[in-house]
Amino acid sequence: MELRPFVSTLVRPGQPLTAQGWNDLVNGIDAVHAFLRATLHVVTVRITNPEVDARGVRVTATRGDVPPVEGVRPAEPDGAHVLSRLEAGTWTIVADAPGYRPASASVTIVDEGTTDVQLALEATARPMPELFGLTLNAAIGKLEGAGIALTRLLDFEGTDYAPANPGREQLSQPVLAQSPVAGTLVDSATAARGAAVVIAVPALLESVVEVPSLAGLTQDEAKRVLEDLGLRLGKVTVLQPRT
Amino acid sequence: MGSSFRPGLAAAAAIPKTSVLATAVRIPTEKVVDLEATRTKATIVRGTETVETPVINLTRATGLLDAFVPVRRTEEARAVKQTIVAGTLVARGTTIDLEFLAPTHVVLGIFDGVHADLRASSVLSVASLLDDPEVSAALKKNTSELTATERQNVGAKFAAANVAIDDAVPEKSMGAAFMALKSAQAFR
Repeated sequence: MELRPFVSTLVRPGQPLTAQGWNDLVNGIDAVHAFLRATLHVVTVRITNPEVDARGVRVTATRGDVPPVEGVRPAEPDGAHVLSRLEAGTWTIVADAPGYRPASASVTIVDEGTTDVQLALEATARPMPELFGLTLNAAIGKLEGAGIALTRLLDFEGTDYAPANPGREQLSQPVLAQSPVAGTLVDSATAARGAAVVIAVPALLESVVEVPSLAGLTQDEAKRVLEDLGLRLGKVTVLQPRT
Repeated sequence: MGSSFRPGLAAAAAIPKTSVLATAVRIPTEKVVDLEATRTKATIVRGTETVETPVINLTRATGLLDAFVPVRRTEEARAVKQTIVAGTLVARGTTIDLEFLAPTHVVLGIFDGVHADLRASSVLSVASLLDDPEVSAALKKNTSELTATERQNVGAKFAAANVAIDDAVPEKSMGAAFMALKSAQAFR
């Protein structure tokens, strides 16, 4: 509905009010009433993607001849956007969010009331998962689930490991840092060329042992004691009195 | 080694297939033996030169060996010095060199806290004390745990071995004498 131009027709004193004039008056009041009713219409827009925080989605209503109207964002992650005071007519409701293709729906507003619109957003990028504290093995699984390739693997001393084949010791180490940070959207183009992922794992501390006293042991005994501790018997010198 | 096999020839046919119990699962018995072209030979280096491996006549060698007996454990050389002192933290795989000495050459004076009268004694020279049942039993205790009778009897044994016990003098105390004997025990 749209407001038509109002033509004021005045009546001079003594001039009779015709039926035509009266009907124009009534029709005008009716048009105003209908317009006012239409502006009481409320459009709620709900995003159906469970992984999407609705508070980060922008919802707008557009119509060719008027400026776009932005909906009120919800307070809760799964809440609905609200569009009110839209004039009667056909509107295009558009929802868009970073990492998703915009979704739209057409709504025709005639009078007061409520229209519920549900929109599903199509993802064009994947959020980088949170890897901090996970074992490298679990982190790799999470990255694979997100479709993001692990392209670099470092320990905190800067030693590079082959991302495709890290050692067994590295797989059990916790992830201390990552890049990109968790939540960063990795789009298909980035993922295709391999997302730059850096994971720091602590270097393995070389285990140490305390050298025991070998005094009084025979060579065989000393060798066994050392080998049990992971040490090695080196040069053996059997001394005799100087002649 | 069968002479009919050329070096590198698979010798599967030479190994018979064994029969197994009817209830057992038949396992593959064919094995491939890769025969080296040359005989395995130890390389002996003396000084800086490689020398020939001697060929021993086992019959004559056995005749010679029959005249000998294995070295008694009590005569086997014992570790006295190590290149990395005890208590040092080292990485696994570290190599430690050792110097050994026959027990006959080990004198008790190389140990800390031993009785002054025993410092010049060798490990073997205190064998009679170590073999004494009363002394041996006493050595399992601390000197503070000895009864008066034990202390008196053991003291008498030490005196007989020319070891004077005087608890007023630390280096001549019963504890120092015990320390010497306990150290010697490891070299027996």
